[in-house]
Amino acid sequence: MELEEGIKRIKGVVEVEIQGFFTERFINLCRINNIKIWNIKNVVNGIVRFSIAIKDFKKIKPISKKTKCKVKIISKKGVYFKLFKYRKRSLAFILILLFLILSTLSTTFIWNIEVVGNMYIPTENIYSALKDSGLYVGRNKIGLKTKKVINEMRVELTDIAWMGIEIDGTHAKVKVVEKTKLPESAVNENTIGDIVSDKSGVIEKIVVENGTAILEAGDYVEEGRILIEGKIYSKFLEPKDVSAKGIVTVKRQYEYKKEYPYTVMEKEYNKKAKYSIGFTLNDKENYINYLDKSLKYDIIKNSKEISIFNNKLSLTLYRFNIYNEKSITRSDEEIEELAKNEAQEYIEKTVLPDLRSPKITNKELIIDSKDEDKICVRMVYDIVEEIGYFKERV
Amino acid sequence: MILKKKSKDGKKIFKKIDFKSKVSAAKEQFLERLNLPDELVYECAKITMIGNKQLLLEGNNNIVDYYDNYIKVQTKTLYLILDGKNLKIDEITDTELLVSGDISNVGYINR
Repeated sequence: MELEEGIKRIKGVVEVEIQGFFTERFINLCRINNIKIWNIKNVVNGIVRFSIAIKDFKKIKPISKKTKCKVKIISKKGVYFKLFKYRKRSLAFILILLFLILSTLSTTFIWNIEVVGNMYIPTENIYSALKDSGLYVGRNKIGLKTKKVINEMRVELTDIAWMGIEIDGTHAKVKVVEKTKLPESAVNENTIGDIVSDKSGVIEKIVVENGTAILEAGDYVEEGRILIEGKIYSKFLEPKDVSAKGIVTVKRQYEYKKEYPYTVMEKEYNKKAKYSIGFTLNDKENYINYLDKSLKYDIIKNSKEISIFNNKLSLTLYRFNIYNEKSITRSDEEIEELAKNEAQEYIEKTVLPDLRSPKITNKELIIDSKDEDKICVRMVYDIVEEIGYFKERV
Repeated sequence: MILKKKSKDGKKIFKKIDFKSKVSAAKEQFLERLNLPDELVYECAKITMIGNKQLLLEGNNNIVDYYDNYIKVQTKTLYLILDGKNLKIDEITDTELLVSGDISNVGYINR
């Protein structure tokens, strides 16, 4: 219904009032002559209002003569009348036409390139190679041969196994599949070399699969020293060079040290919050700032990013939570508990992910120094981990 | 003379038979057998109402009277009379008539 109304509006609609004795006859004659009228309303006896399409308006005249009704236009609606009103403003028409032409023309260019699927080839390299082979931001879509671009790209970047370019409107999506490299273990198998330590510590366990162990469990090892030599010694034969292989585990100590003051300021939130909006263009923030500087705020951002011509523009909704500061004094036990939790979190989040098959064997809390206003706490972790890397013998 | 008399008698007999009504009855029976819609068989208007807010009248119809609270429409066999408040004709085409407003009464009068 709304769509139909919209189409009628574009064509132009006139609201008409008729006055006379035979308004019913007028309506019937309109119906018989295939003149479409709608929204018929009886205002007072003898006065009827209705809407009619602009193309049918002239057909009313003979009917009004026949039924002796006076016809009066009440309002004109629609794009047709708007255009007619501004018909002498040629500049506006030219601008509208120019705008239409420009907007249609701009859709024939590529405004955004997205690279998907690359794991080890840097995206910048792909972008520069694409630019050399003829696909760049601002390139016209007409006359662009994607097959040619792909062939040139594959010559330039030899690590690419397959490539596809999908152009969707003004957006080009480049899909890349890289050649899979051989795993390191497969490379090592036939080359002669040793296993060398990359960390210092006390050896917990040493298991040799191939080669000869130089050190024993309980020895202290420094960084860069050979753990398993790639040679096999025999009483009867000459020493034979092999590729060393094995597992070496080492016990190491990791520390977490921090000073804790007895009195701390803690945030006490009001339930009040203020909101603001802003935009960020290339890491430069702009937002409407109407905040009271005497109060303190926590800022929470909620943003949505879009990229235009390789510039990053993001619209952000800011939320400012107002808080007061309040001082709290803590006891030794509380601080120890807090230190344990923080140390555990630090070890789990920052230390353990970098280690190979780590295992915590012992942990200990040590109080280094104690002053009037602060306490220095150290948390020591004993961790057993795997060390050693394969080094080719020159 | 004799021939003329005969023809007059024939006319009288023809009138007595009530040929028209018989033909229409036969036509109705025939059309009923065909499973056609009832509004075609009986040649009358079809009315669809949504509560008392909207009324759709299908069939060839003429508006006889149109006021704010009263509409009289001539259908093929009867007059249809609508009473109510703020009655408005939303659309009128060759075969359809759409009336909206607070309809309080729908009635028929013989033509």
